[in-house]
Amino acid sequence: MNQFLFGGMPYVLLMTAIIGAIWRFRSNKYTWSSQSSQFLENKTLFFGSFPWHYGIITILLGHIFGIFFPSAILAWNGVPVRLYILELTALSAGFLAFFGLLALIYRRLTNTRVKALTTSWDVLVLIVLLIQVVTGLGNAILYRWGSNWYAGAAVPWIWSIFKLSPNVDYVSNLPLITKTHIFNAMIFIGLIPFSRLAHFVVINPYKYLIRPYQVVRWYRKGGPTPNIVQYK
Amino acid sequence: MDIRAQLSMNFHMDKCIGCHLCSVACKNIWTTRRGAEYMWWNNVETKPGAGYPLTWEDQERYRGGWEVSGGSLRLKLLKGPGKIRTLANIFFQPNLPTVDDYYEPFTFDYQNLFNAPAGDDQPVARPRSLITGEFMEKVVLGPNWDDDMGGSPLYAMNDPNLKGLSESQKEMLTKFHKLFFFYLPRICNHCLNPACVASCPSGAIYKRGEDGIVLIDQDTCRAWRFCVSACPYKKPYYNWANGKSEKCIFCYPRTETGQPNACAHSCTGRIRFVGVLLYDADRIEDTAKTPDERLVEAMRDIILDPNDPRVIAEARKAGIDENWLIAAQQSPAYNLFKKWRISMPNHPEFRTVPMNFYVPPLSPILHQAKSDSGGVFDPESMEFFNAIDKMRVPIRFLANLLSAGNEQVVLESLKKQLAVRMYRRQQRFGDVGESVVKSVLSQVGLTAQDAEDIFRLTALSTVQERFVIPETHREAMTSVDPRTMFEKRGSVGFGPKKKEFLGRTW
Amino acid sequence: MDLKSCKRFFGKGLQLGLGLLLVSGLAPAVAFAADQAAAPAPAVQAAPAAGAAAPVAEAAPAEKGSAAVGKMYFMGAKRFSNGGPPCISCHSAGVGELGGGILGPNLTKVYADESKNPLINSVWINNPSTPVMGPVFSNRNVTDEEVDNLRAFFAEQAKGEVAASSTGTFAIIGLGGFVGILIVFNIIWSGRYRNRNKGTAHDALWRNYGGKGGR
Repeated sequence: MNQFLFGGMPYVLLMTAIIGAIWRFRSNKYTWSSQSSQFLENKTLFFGSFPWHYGIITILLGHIFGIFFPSAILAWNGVPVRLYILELTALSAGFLAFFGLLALIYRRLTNTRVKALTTSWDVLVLIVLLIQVVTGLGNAILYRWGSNWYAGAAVPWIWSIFKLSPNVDYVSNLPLITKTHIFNAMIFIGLIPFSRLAHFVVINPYKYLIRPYQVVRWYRKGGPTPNIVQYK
Repeated sequence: MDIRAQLSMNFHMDKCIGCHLCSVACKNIWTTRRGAEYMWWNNVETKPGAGYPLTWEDQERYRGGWEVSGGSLRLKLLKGPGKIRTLANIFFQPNLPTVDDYYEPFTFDYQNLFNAPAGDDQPVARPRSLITGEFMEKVVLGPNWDDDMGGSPLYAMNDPNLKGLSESQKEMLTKFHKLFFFYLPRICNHCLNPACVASCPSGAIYKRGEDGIVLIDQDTCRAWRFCVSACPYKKPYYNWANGKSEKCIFCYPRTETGQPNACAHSCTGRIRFVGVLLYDADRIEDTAKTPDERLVEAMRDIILDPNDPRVIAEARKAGIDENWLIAAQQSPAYNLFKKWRISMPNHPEFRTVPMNFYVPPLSPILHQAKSDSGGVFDPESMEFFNAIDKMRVPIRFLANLLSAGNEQVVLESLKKQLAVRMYRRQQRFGDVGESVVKSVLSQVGLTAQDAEDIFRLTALSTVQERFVIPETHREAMTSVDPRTMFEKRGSVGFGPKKKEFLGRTW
Repeated sequence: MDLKSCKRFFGKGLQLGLGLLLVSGLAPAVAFAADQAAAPAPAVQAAPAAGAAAPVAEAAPAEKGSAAVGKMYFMGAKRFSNGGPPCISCHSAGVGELGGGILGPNLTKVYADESKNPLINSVWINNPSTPVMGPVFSNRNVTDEEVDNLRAFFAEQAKGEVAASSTGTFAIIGLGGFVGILIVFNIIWSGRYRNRNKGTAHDALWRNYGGKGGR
């Protein structure tokens, strides 16, 4: 069972994500959107979107950083005060995301305009995210110093997946909450190309910081460069 | 010098009768889809009035456009360091108008008129929201909600252009026998310094180099909605159903083949003129930074004379096609804006350097002049333009609307129009006097030929004269779909390709 | 004072009060939780621990390693030479203000526990069959020398008391941080939210007009 969940499913869901993303990007790029509903309702959204995104992005960057630099995290955590600062920051961000997510779910359930736009995919996404955040908070509180044992136990598992020789032992004996968190994360990745989560794969905005304000496209053969720098 | 061509539309507001044919033509072609019901890429507003979306000119509320701070241009959208601040607000935009600022799209439950069971009461068609599909208690806003409400204390009195008007002028807004209003048709201005382009984190919005049309790449748009907030004219619209922004496309499929835009073509008042302008792209930034009082002048400076041999040589070097150069030389837009200087941009103080120009309305002046001096043109008096100060539409109001508060620019245009009328009256009835007409024309800096041309263009012009739109050389283009219109039917346009997968259209 | 300004006044007061309440409530809460964490420990552990710790401390043979170095290994100040994660990740041993991890058993008294004491050796730790540690340390072995130091550290710790788990404190401080972030957000973006809450442009028109109208 563990072998299937943590040895096989990661590949299935990763491939789903990659192939699905390519398929959707190529076949119908038009639908690749964040599907913002701020235009219809922007009061509850203020209390949902801001905390949710700022919280979850902090957490997510932490997780990604941990995958690539586990020893840096362990070194930082060497002094208890630093460990506590890291953990408490992460926990606060987690609560922030949880609060935002609850506000977003509340908004989606109560506002008639937003409800009219809600698809079953959106509901699925919200359920997956709620499970993810709740189990994440559970991990942080009930099995604390997760940043440490994440770097020690979970990251080697992730790398074993990338190296195509999954070592399930790393995660198979972790508590149920943790295992739910891990498995749900993979479902989350698998969902990305099929739902509004597509906007999570942000390809464009980083360019905004380096491009000039104005964009000019030429469609003449041998015309000037695609983007003419008018001014920064 | 970096010469580029720009398609520009000019509106003769004096001739607009507010029939909304342009809006309806545009609506029928482009925005009858789900999520686009509330959009009016072309709309006609009553001025003074609140407009669409309501009070769009009030940038204290919407914070669109640019401002000059510390000698450099930056988006007014958010205070602080521009781009990083923009990205930090990507999750929730403080200044985004909501659907309530436009109006909630609705239809009526007409079926009830037929299907209602027999009863004591007349069946009614209740309004039904097109967003939720539920009945609406009350329709509080709709398309052209303040249409012709020139005297309305609610809508007209809240027009943001009224700032700086004297009390007596404001009083005219509500006194029935004194009130005035005129129409302001609006499409996207296809600005030289568009704020929507500058604010788009995806880089989906772009200005086409060849004809200056500003378009949104629908495949790249990720619904960050900054264009809606940043555009001071509120002309990009957010399609809430598809999660993409859409805007006026200047009917480029029509203009590429030399046909006038749908709105311009359908105009019964023949108020619209479309033509090519040549401009110097190197000077856009300086132009946009010019102080308010010289802004219109700076915009006229950036437009180049298409008959100047140096400009022609540079334009050829820049790759502008020969038929575009010829069109630029015959361009009604150039004549109205630069040569005769009678049209002016809408709200240049937003500093986007808009490329649609408006000829300010004159009609109320004549009426006023008549009643005050006992005749339209008093041959005994040499001061023909005094009446302008007593006109119904206050100059201040027009200046706020069209010239960033510079009354001289508006006065110049109004005097020229008046002079052309005198010139024509002399030709038709001969009761003004040759010498008077001559002195009037020289006072405003027009020649008899100019007056004749202005009259010809604004009163008698044919479709070919009003719309000088050169064809795009599609055979030389890379990114233009080579398929014919017949082959493309059903596969292009707005909206997703229809693919059903697990109950969702992809 | 008309109704509108009354409402705004109350709204502001309520917001300020709530903020103050949170800030003022938080400090005692944290302090209380800290007390909770510290206080019951001796009470609960006093009787059995006093009995158990004393003989072991006497009976324990002198360990080869240094307790100070062992502590550094335990806390992670000094990394295991083969890259294994520090013990504090999952275990508590009475060090650190908020204690150690709680994924694994508490090791404060492990040295005193006769059934477990023999397990503190590199062979057992590196054995792949232990549940969570196994896969981690079988790939990144701890060395004998490191375990010696750890043994010395555990011997030292076994003399002390088992600290209560400070999970509650941790969660409360986390919540406090969350509330703090919200307050900061509120300060930074208060104008923004208020602007939005002034309602639609239509509401603004009606307000200027002086009527209630609209909806």
